[in-house]
Amino acid sequence: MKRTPIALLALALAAPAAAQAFCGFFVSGADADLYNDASQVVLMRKGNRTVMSMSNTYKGPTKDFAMVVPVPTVLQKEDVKTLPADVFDHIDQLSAPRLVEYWEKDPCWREPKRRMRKMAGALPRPSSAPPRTERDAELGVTVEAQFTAGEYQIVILSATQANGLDTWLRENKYVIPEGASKALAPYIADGMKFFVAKVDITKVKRDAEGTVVLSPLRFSFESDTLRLPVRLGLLNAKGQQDLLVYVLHPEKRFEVANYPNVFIPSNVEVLDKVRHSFGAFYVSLFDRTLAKAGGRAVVTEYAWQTSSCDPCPVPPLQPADLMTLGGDLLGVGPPGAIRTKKRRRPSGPFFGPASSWVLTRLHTRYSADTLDEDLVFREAKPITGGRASGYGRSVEEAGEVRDAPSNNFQGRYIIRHYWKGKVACENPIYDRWGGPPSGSAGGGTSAATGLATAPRGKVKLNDVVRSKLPALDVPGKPTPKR
Amino acid sequence: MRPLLAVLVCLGAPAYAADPQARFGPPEAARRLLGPGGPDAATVRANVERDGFHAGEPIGEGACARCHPQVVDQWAASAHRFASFDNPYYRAAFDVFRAERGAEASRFCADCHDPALVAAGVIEVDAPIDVGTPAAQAGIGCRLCHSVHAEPDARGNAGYHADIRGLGLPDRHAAAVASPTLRTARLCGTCHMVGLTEQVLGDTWMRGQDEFTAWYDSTANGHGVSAVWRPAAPPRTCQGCHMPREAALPDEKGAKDGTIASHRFLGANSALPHLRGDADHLARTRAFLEGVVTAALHTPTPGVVDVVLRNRKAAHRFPGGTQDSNEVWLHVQACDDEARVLGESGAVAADGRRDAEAALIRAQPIDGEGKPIQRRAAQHTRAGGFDNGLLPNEARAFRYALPEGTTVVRARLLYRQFDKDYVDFACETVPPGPTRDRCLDPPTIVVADVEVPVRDGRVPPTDDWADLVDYGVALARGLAEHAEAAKAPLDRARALAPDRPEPALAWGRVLARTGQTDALFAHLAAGPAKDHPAADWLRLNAALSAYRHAPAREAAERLAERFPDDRRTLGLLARTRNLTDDPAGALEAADRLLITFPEDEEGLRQRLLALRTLGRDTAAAEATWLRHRRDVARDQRLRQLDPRIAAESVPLRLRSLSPPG
Repeated sequence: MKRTPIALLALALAAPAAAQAFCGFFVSGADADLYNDASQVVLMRKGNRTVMSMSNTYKGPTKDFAMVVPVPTVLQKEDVKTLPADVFDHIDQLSAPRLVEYWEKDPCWREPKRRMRKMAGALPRPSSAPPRTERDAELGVTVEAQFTAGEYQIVILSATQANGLDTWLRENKYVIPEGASKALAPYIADGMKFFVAKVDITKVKRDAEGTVVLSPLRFSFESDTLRLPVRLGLLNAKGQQDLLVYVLHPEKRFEVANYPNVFIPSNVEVLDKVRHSFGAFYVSLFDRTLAKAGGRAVVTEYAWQTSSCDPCPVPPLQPADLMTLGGDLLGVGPPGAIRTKKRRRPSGPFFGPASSWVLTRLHTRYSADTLDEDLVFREAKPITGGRASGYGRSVEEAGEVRDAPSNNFQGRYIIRHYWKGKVACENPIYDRWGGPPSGSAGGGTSAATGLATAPRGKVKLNDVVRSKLPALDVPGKPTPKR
Repeated sequence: MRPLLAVLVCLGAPAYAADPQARFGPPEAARRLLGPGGPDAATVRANVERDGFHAGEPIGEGACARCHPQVVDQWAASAHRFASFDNPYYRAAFDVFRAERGAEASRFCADCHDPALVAAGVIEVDAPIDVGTPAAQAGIGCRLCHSVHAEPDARGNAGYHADIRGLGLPDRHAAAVASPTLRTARLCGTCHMVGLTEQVLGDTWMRGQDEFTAWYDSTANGHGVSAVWRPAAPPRTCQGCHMPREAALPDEKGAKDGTIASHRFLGANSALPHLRGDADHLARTRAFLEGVVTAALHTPTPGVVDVVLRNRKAAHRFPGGTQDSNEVWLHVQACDDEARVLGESGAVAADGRRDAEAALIRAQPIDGEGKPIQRRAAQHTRAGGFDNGLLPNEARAFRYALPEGTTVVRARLLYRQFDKDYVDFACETVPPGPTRDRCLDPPTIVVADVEVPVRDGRVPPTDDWADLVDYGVALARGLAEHAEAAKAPLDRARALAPDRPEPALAWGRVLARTGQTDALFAHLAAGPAKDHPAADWLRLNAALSAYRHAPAREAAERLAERFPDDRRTLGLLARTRNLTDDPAGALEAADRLLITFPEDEEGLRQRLLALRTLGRDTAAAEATWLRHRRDVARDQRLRQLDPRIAAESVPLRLRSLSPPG
C-alpha cells in the first residue's frame, strides 16, 4: 500500500481560540502563538493530475515563521508557485453563501413586452540540494531540495525517523507542537517528504491593517486518488477547525466518499435583521446542518459552472483565474484570454462561454473526534438548488436539492420586502420580486465571507428564518399579510 | 541456504561481478561450457554469412544428445538456444548498447544471453564481437543451467554460479547435472529478474523486466494475498508451465515415468520460430498463448463500451519479458448493420505500422525526454511511463466511445513480438532473401477475440457472475473518484453467486480505494469473504490509510501467519510494527523479506526506520535504500513531457474510434 500522494498536512501552532490552519503546521522561530483564520484549499483535477493551491492567512507576531507540510515527492523550484492572494478571495466570494434582497412588485403592475437581453460575467533554474551535514545524517534528515519562491524560503526534507525530524526542526530554530513526532511517523513510514516553507517576514505583503497576507502556494502531482489529509492540522487545534475545499473539474461536481455528505439548505427566506448579521446567521445554519448529520459530515455549499453565476456577488472565474489555479498545467486554454481589469460586482446573473469547469465548494468544521481520516473525494451527480427564477422567485423550495443535467447549486438566502401598498386591481399578482423601489437604497447580492471568525451561537435560527426547514427543526414563520 | 544468501547480500555483488569467468570456475572448467559435437567453425561462419545467424546443427551439445536426443531436439528449437548472436533481434540491440556503454557494461546483457562468450573471455575485451564463431552462435546451452548447483543470487542479473563438472557418468550423472536448484523458480529468476544498474543507466538503479517477483507474489506460488481469484490449482513454479511433462520417446534416456520435462520453453517468443521457418514451434507457441487472456465487453453508459481483459493463465504479468518491445494491443472495431467499419482503433497500416493511438497492453519505459524507449535501448530508461499490463488473474478495462449507428462491436487482443520500427532496425544484419523477409514480418497472434451486437448503444448484459466480478475489479482500478461505478456489476454478481467471496472482495477494493474504512470492516465482518486472505489484505491497507495502526498490524500479523514468506505482507508487517513502536519486530520482518528480495524498497525503508529507532548505525542501510528508492518525482515529471504517455497513464480514460483511413 502506497499512500496516495497528496499529503498536505498542516499543524497549527499553539494558538488562541481562533480556528486553526489545516494543511501543514506553522512553526515560529520563537515560542509564539500563531494561528490562521480559515483553511482553504483548491484542488484542480483533470485525469489523474491534481494541482493543489493552499491559502495561508496568518495572524501573529512579526517574526520569521514557517510551515511544515508533508508532500508526496521531492518538489523542485519549478513545481512550486506562489499565487496572487486575491485568487482565493475571488473563489471564496464567488461560491460563498449569498444574501439577496427583493422587493415585491405592485401586484397590479403589468409587465411591458420587451426583449430579453443577456446580462453582463516560473522555468526557473533547477534547484540543487545542499550537501548533507554530519548532523543531518545523524538525525536521519536529508535536505532534498532548497529554493525560494516569493516570500518563502523552501526546503524539502526527507526523514528516516520522526524524532530525528522533530530534533532537526528544533535545532534549526523551529518551535514545533507537542505530539508532532507521533503524527509525522506515518508519513515517514510511507516515504513522504516534508515541505518546510520559512517565511521571510521582511518580504511579506500586508493589508491595510498591517496583517500579514501570505501568498498562496501551489504545486501539482499525479495520483489515482483525490485525497486530502487533514490529520496533522489537528495537532495544535484548540477545539474545532474550519476547512473549505474547492474542487475544480472539467465536468463533474465532487463530494466526499468516506464521510457523510449533506447540502446546506438553500433558498431560505430570512428576516430583514439578518442583513446585519449574515455571517452569524449562516454559521448557525451551518452548525445546525452539521449537528443534524451527527457532527461528522461535509457540507456542499456550491456547485456551479465557473463561467456563470446567478446572482453574482463577484464576476465568475475568468480563464486567467483557472490558469492561475493550475490550468496552465492541466491544459485549460490560452492564458489571459479574457480578463476583466477590475472586479466589478454585477447586479445580475452572468452567462459566460459554454466551456468552463465545475466549481464545487465543500465546507466542514472538524475536530479530532469527528474527522480523523483523510478526505477522499468522488464524482457526484449534478444537482440544482438555491436558484432564482424570473421575478426573483425561487425555483427550488427551501432546502430542496434536485438531480439535474448540470450543476446549479448555491447557498441563497433571501430577504423579501412584501408589498405593503394599496392593491387597486381585480386580479392582483403577488410573488413578483425585483430591486428596490426607485429612490430607495439596498438590493444586490452580498457574499458571506470570513465565516470562520463569525460569532457562533449568537443567532437563533428559529427566530430569523421564515422558510420551513423540517429537517433542521425550523418551523418557519407565516408570510406577512398584504 | 538462507545464511549463505544473507552473507552474499551483505557482501554485495558476487565475486564474478569483477571476474566474469569466475562464475564458471577455473578456466579449464569454463572451456567445458561448450561441449563437443556440432558443426565445424567454417560451417557456422558460412551459415552466418548466408542467413545472418546459424540455425543448423546445435553447437556443443553432442555429448548430451547421445542420451537425450528428444530433450536436445526440443531445446534446439527454443528461445534459449537462440538467445545470443544467433538471434538478430538481440544482436542489434546488443551492438548499440555495447557501442554506447562499452565492453565491460555489455556483460549486463551477455552474462545471460552469451554465456559461451563470457566463458571464453571475449565479452569484456574492447573489440568487436566476431559473430561468426561457434561461441557467438551457441546460445544458452545445456551445461549452463545444468551446472548451477548453488541457489543463485537473489538479485537476479545473472547471479548464477555454474559449477561445470564432468558429466559424472555413469553413476554420478544426476548429482553432476541435475541439482535440486534446477527445479526452483529462483534458477529462472537469475535471468528473468533484472535490475538496471548504474552501469547501464548511468546514474541510477531501476527495476527492469521481472517475471520472478510477479510470479512470487501470485497465487501460482501459493501467495497472491491480494488476489480476488484464488484458483484451485496447486502451486507451480516457472517450470510447471514452461517445462510441462511430455511423453518421452523410446530413445530418450532422461525419461521418468515415461515423460520428460519439455525443453521447448514455450512462451510468447513467436518471432524466432517464424524467422527460422519453424512452423511446428510457431504452432506450439500459438497454442500456448491460446486463452491466456480473455476479453469481454460491457456497457458503462449507452454509447460507450468497456473492453475487459483478464489474465487467466500467465502466472506473471502479461505480457512478460521485455516490456518496451512486446507489442500487445487492442484492435477495436465498431460496425453497422452492413458490416461497414464506422470507427476503429488499433488497425495496422499497409506498411505494417500499428495505429499509434491504440491501447498498448504493457508497461512502457520512457527515456529522459519522456519518450517511449526505442530499439530495446534499456540504457535510456529513466522512468515508467504507464503500466497497462495484466497481473496474474487480474482484470483491466479499456473504454471506447461508440460512433452513432454502431450495431456490432468487435475487440481483439493482438500480439506481435516486435513492432515495425524495431524489425526494420534489427533485420539489417540478415542478408536479403526469404529469411530477411520473415525477419521483417513477425507474426501477429490473436490472443483474444470477442464480438457482440449493440442495440441502443448497449452491448447485451451478461449473467456470468465471474465476468461481472472481473468487470467490477477492472472498474475499481480506475480513478478512485469513479471506482463506485463497480457497484452495479458487483451487486449483480453477488445476486447471482451469493455464496462466492469474489464479488464481496471486489467491492471491498472499492471501499478501500475510496477511504470508506468503517464500511469496509463492516462489509468483511461476515459473509463468504470474511476469512479470505484478500479480506485481511484489504483490512490491512485500509487501516493503514486511515492511520489505524493497531488493527492494521493485527491484519498484517494474521496474514504473515498464513503466508510467512509473502513479500508484500512482510513489507507491510514491518511497517505496521514500526508504527506500533515495535522496531525490533519491524527489523525481523524486514530482514526476512530482504533475504528473498534484497532490493525491495519497502523492506529497505522499514529496515532503515527500525535501525534508526533502535539507535543502531544506519549508514549502510540508508545507502542501500537510497539506491533502490524509486524517484517518484522524476517519474511524474517525465511522464508529463509526452502527451500520449501522460494520457495513457490515466486509467480507464475514454478513447475514440476513428473512421477508417
